[in-house]
Amino acid sequence: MDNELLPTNNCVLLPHILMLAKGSTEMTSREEDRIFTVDEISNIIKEVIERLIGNNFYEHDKVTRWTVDIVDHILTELTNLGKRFKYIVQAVIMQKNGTGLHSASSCYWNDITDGSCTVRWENKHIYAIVSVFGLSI
Amino acid sequence: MNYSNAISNLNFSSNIHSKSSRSFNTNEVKQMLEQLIQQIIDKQNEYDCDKCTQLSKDLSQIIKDAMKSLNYEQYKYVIQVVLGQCQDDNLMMTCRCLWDIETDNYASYVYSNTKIFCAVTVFGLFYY
Repeated sequence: MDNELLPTNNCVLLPHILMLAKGSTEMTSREEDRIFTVDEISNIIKEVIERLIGNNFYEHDKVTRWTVDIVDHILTELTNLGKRFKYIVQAVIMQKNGTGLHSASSCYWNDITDGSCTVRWENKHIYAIVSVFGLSI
Repeated sequence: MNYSNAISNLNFSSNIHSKSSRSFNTNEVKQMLEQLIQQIIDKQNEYDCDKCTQLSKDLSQIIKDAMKSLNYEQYKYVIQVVLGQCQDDNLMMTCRCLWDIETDNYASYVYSNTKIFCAVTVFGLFYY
């Protein structure tokens, strides 16, 4: 596409072209509104866990508070994205002691619009697994 | 107190809420989970890392198929299975949901024997 300034006798066409361009961006943002974007949500999750747990030791009294806070903060940030989605946020926090843990999920939904994002995070003392499922309305 | 039945009988509910399909019944799903999970986990003699990886995936598929057989109309499901070894460790699991409280719900069940513990959560979300 030509980025040069149009000569004055073509100025009448400019507003029409601008309107068409605006129309197409509106369409894509509406489409984006209905598709689950994994990267954006993965960043939100990592940032929230880092902020709330950081380098802490596993403390039995605090764990309940941590899981509830992580899940609440993530859900608030997801709501702020303003997309037409129902969300499920699940967090599992475990002490690092050599025990084995497996987590699996299976979903019956619309493959095109719905999606999930699972982040596995650890520091020296704690494992955290956070899953976010987004289902379009 | 749940007023949604009374409200839906008054004829001004919007078109997106079609109340003809039955809503997610937590007790029914929980009973189904209890029967399925006890049978499957008790077959395992001990915790084996590789077998349990496959077991957790298989269990989630089995439960998804069982949910489909319960025939809830217009519902999407999310099934989460957490399986682990029973040592002296502690584990904390929390979830929060942003959904329509009149139609959506969840059922969860935790089962453990001396070797393995299993926590399963099934979420049912209405699709308008």
